[in-house]
Amino acid sequence: MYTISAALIWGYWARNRWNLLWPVLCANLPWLLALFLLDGVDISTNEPLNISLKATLTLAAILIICLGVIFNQMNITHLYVKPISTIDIVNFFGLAGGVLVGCQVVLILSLWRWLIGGEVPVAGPAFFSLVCWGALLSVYLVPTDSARWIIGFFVVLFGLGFWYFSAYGLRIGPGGAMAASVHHWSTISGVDVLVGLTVLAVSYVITLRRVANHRNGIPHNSLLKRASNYWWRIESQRQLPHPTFVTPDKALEWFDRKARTHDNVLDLLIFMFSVWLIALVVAAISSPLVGIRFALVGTLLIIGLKINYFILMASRLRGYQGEFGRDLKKSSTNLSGFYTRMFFNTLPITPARMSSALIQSSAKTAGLFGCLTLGSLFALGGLAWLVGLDPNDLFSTDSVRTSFARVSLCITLGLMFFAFIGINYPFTISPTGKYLIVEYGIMIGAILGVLVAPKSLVLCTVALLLVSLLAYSSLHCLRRSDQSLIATILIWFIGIVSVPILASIFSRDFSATAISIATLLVALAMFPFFSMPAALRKIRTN
Amino acid sequence: MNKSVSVSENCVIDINNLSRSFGSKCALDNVSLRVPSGGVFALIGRNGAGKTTLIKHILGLYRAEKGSVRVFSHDPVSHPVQVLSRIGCVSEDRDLPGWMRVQELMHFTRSFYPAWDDRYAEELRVMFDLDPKQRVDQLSRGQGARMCLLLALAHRPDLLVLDEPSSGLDPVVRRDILAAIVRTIADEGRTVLFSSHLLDEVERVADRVAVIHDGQVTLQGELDRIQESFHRITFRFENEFSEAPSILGAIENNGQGRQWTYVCRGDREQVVSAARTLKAEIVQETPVSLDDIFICSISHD
Repeated sequence: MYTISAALIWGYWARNRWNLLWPVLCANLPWLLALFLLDGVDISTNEPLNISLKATLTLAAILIICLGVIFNQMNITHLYVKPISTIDIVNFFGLAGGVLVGCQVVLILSLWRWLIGGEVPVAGPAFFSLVCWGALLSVYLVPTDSARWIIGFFVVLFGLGFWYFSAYGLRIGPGGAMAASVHHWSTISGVDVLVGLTVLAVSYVITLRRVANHRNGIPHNSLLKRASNYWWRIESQRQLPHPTFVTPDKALEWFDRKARTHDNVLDLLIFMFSVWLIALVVAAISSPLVGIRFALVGTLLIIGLKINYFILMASRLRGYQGEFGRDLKKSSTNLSGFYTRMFFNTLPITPARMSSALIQSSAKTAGLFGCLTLGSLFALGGLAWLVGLDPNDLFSTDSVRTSFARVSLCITLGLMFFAFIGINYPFTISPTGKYLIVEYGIMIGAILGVLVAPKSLVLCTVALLLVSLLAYSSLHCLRRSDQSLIATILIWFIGIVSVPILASIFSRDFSATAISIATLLVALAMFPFFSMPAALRKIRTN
Repeated sequence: MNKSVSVSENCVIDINNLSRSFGSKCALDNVSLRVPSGGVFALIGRNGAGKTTLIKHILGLYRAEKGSVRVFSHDPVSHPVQVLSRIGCVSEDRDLPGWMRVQELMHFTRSFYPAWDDRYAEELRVMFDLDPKQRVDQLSRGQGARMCLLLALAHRPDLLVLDEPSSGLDPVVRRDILAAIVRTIADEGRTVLFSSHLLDEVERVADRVAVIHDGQVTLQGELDRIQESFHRITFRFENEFSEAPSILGAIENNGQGRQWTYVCRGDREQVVSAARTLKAEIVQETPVSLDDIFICSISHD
């Protein structure tokens, strides 16, 4: 049948059939690592801590799947010149994307349920994911300026987040988020249906209106737009700094920070600031303790989202803006893709120096992330202590006692590692299609391996595989003189020393799982030092 | 030994038997090209003929599959810094980082080129009427081209490479680009390599040309000599012909009845004497434009 709908659906499928697997696989990774780290804990119990963890990871997975589908959609403006009504355009994006989101969420939750053998609710989160998709579509479908994007995202995130956590019994009030009333979202109540349908209906109307305006070329002369324009006017009048760079490396590091990594720090800062602001309001209305618990849950959610975001970025969905799966050389629509463009590649700088500049920039970003996260968590701990609460109680339940400092350090290090790995990943491996098979292979192998073998064994195997690849990459790098022998020895020495330190932070009893996870993270963080020059050379010289 | 060194020194670009394929498509087929130092060298050819692929090899953005590429006696892939620091490049894409301001981009680019001339860069900025505070993504197409030109010229490169620089631009910007070419060659010993569809531009500024067709160089040499080797002559024959009578060296013809116009290549006297054997007399003789030469060279080689 040669209909417009059939053509659109075919296009959607042809464009995304492989790409859409990634969000599912990526959304699994934090969950699996969390499971591995909690290896000694009985995770099948319905403890508030476990339910809270599951709820947070499920939400992060849902959002990542929604974003993955959005990034993979075609540019809506391509449809404006086709003989198709605006309603049909919105219906197409909404329905096709909704089906994909729903299926992926059901798939991933079923997989989790299968993996851990415990209770993981599917219906509630799947219903929520559809509502989430509808709401996000109203923010994302039509291009917006940055201020609108950020504020719209916050409104949607917090509104839906409140409903989501309420459905799990995670509430803001006496006893806080990890109170005994926490339960799985196993049944969809009448209120849930009402809330969900209302959000969907409002989102649909907003989306329809915005797409119609966009198609007709009506400018968005909203308050936000005016504020944004005003900001740009001030910016353009501002006296420009005169950046002077001693070396090309410094210039490149500045470029990379401004173009690629700066926004990530800014995002985290805005997210953290918003959480703290709302927590202050909550504390003023309710009690300081409730405010602290709210800030804690909000911070953890943001960190979870950020980690997932970096995995998504690592999977190049952001870097490619929907062009994932094609050669990096062909990607030229975004800032990461800028490194593939002719202007950049005709600058007289060696791939080794280029790589060194990019690594420095991403290391600084990871460091800033660490400072922000640790600062926020320790401020929370301090405030808890001030109101007479033992900070260790913030992460503890009746059956599991945890050290606040240790958990905070674990979370911070996790975010820093994922940030560094994620930012550099598009340039870490050789940017050609055939290597994607290896990535898929390792990821799928690890997930399936968990089903048939002990988790620690699977982790250990993956870690060994990575270390072998790293050794090969180091030798290759030395052969091409991209790194000096002394630098290589130094990097390996620091890596080897870091593993036991990291493992001892992750696990008090220094378990094999913790050592494997530490090896895995350190190896992935070491990769860019050795493989990035070759990847950049490959990008420059096809 | 001495001879090879002197050849290499006189040649800015030395390409030998270069071949390159993309899948089953052969983009460059056994191309050999020498661009001597000084002067303007133009690459002309149809869309997809292989001009950009050749330029990317010169810039070290493609590794030679077969054959060799030497720029300033270096392999541009193995020695990108040595080669690229002496080249100024303007590509058709004009893919500059949009978030930067004009002045920031100038400062950024300056750090890569030790020979960057601040005074000259500022002079060019004023001449091109570029606002230092303007964001690059807010520049018009023409301003974007001028910005690229500024960045390519400010370090006074030994070799200026322009890949379809005038594509989609208005006549004023095209004039600026041509002026830049003239200015560059005014500096002694500098070389310009540019590819273009606009043959009138090529005719105005080029000293040497190479025609690329289907990945092969079908014609190359000094423009004046090439133009001298082509002749457009209109003959009137004693008898009427339904098809153009065959004349030695003729590669294109049109006309009817007794009067036929030929574009010929080679010795003019041979062509004329061949026509006279068919009892023809010369009616008109006009110079052959580069357009005609180009069309002849791609349709008959």
